[in-house]
Amino acid sequence: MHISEGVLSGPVLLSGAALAAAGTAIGLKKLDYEQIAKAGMLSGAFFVASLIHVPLGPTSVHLIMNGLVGLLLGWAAFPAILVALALQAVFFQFGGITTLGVNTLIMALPAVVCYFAFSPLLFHRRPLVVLSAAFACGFFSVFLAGVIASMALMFTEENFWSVAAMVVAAHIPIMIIEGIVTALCVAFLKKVQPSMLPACSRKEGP
Amino acid sequence: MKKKCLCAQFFFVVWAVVLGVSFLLPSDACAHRVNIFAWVEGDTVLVECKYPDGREVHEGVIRVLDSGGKELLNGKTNAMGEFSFKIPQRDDLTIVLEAGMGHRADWLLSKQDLAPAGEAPKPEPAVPSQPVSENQAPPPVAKESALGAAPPPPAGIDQAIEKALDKKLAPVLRMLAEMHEQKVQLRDVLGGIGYILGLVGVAAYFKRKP
Repeated sequence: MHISEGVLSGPVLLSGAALAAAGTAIGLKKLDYEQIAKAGMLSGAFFVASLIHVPLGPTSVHLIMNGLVGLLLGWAAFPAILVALALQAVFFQFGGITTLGVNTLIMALPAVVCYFAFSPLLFHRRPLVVLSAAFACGFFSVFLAGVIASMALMFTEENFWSVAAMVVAAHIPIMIIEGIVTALCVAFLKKVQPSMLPACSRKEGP
Repeated sequence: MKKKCLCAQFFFVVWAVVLGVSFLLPSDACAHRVNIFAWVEGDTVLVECKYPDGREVHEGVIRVLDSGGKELLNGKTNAMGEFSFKIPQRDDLTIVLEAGMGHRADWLLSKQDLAPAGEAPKPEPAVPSQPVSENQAPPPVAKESALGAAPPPPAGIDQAIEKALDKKLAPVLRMLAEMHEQKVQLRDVLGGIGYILGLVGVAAYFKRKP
């Protein structure tokens, strides 16, 4: 879902970059000292996640992990994902420098949306609710990323619905896998390090 | 104290898993990018399109542009990710591959690459001692072979050589195409992680409490 250089028109690139810059500014403002290490860890995880391939039938898909990054970081997902994408563009030639803004928006906006949608459910009494919230977070962050990518592409490719249907259909397997991985991570963190989860740290705070 | 310990534990578990997986799958790069490679065989340009993990790009749209950016022709890659076309005109050709969902790559074939056998303007003859006129060939042959020099090549040998070279070089070009596909390397992964650690340090420095 990394959009290459030379695909999008100037206005799309500029508005993507502007929105990504705004998100990053908010993220940096909200990033407090205690969160820095966590943001760095998740940025690193996002950076390498796309190298992890899950074999699936004749082909293989790779993890994206923007759901987990968003769930644990909130607005700070913007700078974390921006850094990871910039490094992916430079080192792996995924995406590109001019499309960095758009790609950041594609990955980070769903992360933040899912944070606000699902993090309140993480400390529900029933574990089933918690797990389904985590699953939905992983699932919908990829789904929304596909929708935003299609919105960016619709100015250059045919029409929105065909592009969106294609992008979303191609990512259905990864949505399910992301959901499972996010659920497993949340279950693990709840046992081992619950303070990493957002609702908990808010409760523990002053 | 206990919490810090657990945090470090978690960190290293994640780290180990991620590194382990990236070690196990060094050649399995991602479908984030498409690779295009084009070369000339005779008067035909062959284009090969692949994802970095070696899968061919099916039904990728190929557009051929001249040096002015005007579209000369277009088409779609076949099931093998290949596409071929006759050289439309002698110009710097840009071959653009659009594989959908924002994947795009291009390849530039310069005028020199396109020089087809026989037609190419040859400022320097291949053999410097070649006689200027073909009509006068027989007498110098006798003379030069008497002197022990190589006989001049008969007409048409250039084309034959070009053809033979094209044939011989095809596998080499293919190999170059494979080498051209940039694969993700471990040092890039480690370099990127190093950058992130450095940025964490920078952020911690600026956000530190006085």
